[in-house]
Amino acid sequence: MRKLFIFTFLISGFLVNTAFAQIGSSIINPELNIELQPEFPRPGEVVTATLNDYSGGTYGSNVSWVLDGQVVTEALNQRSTQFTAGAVGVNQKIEVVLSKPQGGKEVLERTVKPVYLDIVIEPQTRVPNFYLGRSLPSIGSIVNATALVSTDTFMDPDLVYTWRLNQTVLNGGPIRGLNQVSFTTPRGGEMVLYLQVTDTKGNVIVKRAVSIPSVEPTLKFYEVNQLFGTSHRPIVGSLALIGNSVTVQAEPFNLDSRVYNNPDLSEWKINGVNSGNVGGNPYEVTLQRVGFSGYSNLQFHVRDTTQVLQGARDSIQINF
Amino acid sequence: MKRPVFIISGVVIILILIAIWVYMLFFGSPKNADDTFADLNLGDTTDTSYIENTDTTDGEAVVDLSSPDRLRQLTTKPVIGFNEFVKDASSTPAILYVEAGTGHVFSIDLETGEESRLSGTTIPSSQEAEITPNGKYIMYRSGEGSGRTYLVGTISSTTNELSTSDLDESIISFSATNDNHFLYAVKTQNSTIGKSYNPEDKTSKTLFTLPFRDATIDWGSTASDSHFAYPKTTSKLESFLFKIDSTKISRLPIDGYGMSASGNNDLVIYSKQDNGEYKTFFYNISEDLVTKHVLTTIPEKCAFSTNNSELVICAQSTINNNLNIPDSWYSGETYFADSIWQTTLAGSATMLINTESESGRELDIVDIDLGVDDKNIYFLNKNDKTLWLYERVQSLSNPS
Repeated sequence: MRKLFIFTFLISGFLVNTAFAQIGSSIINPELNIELQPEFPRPGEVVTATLNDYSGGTYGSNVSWVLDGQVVTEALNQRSTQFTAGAVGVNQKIEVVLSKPQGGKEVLERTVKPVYLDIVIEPQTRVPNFYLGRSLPSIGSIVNATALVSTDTFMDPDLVYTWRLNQTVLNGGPIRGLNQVSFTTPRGGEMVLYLQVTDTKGNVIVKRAVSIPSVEPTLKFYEVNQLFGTSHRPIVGSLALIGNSVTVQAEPFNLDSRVYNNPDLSEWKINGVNSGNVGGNPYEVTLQRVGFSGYSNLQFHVRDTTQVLQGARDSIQINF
Repeated sequence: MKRPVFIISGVVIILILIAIWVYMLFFGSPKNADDTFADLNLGDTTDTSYIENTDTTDGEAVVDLSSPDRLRQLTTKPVIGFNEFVKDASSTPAILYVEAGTGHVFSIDLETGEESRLSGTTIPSSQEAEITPNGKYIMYRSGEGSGRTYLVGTISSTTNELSTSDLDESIISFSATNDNHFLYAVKTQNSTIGKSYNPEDKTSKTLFTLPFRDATIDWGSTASDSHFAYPKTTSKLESFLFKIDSTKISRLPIDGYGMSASGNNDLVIYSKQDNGEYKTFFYNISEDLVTKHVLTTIPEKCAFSTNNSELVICAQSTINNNLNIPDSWYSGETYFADSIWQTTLAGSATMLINTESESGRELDIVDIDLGVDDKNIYFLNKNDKTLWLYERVQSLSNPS
């Protein structure tokens, strides 16, 4: 019985050692592993693999790196190496072989499967109709984020998504199929949106963090031709009134759409005096030359004072 | 002096003056008819013969196409769409264009320079238009913002009127195809749907669905060609490029801040912010290879040759304030005085013309379109939307 017990103990110890050699991030020794940066690279992205040995158990070992079976000669006895992530959806295996001075080897490995995780940020803020680009978030504005996981085509969105905005987990936690979220832009110059995507068994497929800037809404003024529409060049500083009248449009940039569509305050001022806007468009004013020449200050102010609490104000000079 | 004498003298003087006036009125005509009454020495001729006006153009405009200059301004009015049109092999080519604001359609004969109006039907607040190559159909955007509407017009061969039919959809982008259809994209709550429209039978067909809304689409020449889509560009957020072939949407290895792109079935030209600098690249689709472009330009200022898929015509200027490109160009804060370049995937770049030194004007070139056989390069000036032509001697495959 005692012999059986000793034999079983020896066999178990041998198996543990063997098992230990095959595990990259070991349950037995989590201080010995390969760290990848980024952990879930995109195809073609440069990845840095680093040997972490916090226990010091491999002191004096010969270190060699192997990528997909090929030895990386320039990384001999280096604690880190770089490689380029392969094609989308194709597995790559990075290994590090530790040849100990007292004999024996320890092999750690990680598998990389490049996948695209694109997070499309769509702020619900306003830019002019002719503006070809995307608007930016401003404090208090709503932002929609859509996650697109793709290999050679879009993956089935029926995965499990865990969204986090700064330190706050959105929607209470991981939710299956939730590849779109909306959130309010918090205070500060930027925010970080984290996303982890797993399969329904909890295996992490990919994760990413994106930094999203937050800007102040601004105003630009554009001249409007009643026949041809809005000019695409802003009025910078001053506008010379050549004819008898001119129509000027104030275009907010990155103003929350709710504020733009229903502002609590929108007013034009000429030389500090409120100007009654009789037209249907509160963002447009028509100026007419009367009498003598000179110049005036034209100011526009739009603001929400109840909900979103944001606005924009700016002015130009009109020479007539 | 006595008062009666004074009065009598005054009366006599008045009577004399009246007598003189009567004489001048009734008897003061010159004896010689050839005498001139007053010679202020203004004219240099006394020839009174009538010269008949022999101008027989009936008031139609004529664009000067006879001068040796190869860069020509075709219109002084703003244009919202244009296309080169050749009726048949024996016909002279013409350029059709749509006037901004009115939607009237004009044709300029590229041989004689004669301009004629094909459609006088007013499409109010016309802002955007696409003309099919057969010169028969036009798609319009009328108005801006939430009040915009879309319609397709058919040019009559017999009258000056345009018959129209409305497209009641939330269209965000449209283009005419080489086979005289229209491609357009519709924004929904969570997606963008690409469609094809046949103006002959007025039917639509869904081509693809993108899972995001704020999309920029670079349309192919036909519905079956490759199209490219990406989230709208900003230098502060990342964009990703997708290639659309029939119903399949695949992600290309092109992404970045400030990324915008244009492509054909073989090649993509794209620009993005890269390590604090705005740079331009080529991507060879079949070889999956990225090469740096010799120039730095905004891809919206480029067009691919129809004869040589690896040849790209780009308008280019030195770009300052790199970090805010292309946002500041989109808003109009930044504008350019472009030169036109011919570039190839192999890495060559040849400047065809410096438009500012040639014309004395700052031309911020957009909507480059290569005419039939790449012989002509048409473009709009973003500053005033006038239509211009750069006439080449030979097609682009054999640069002069």
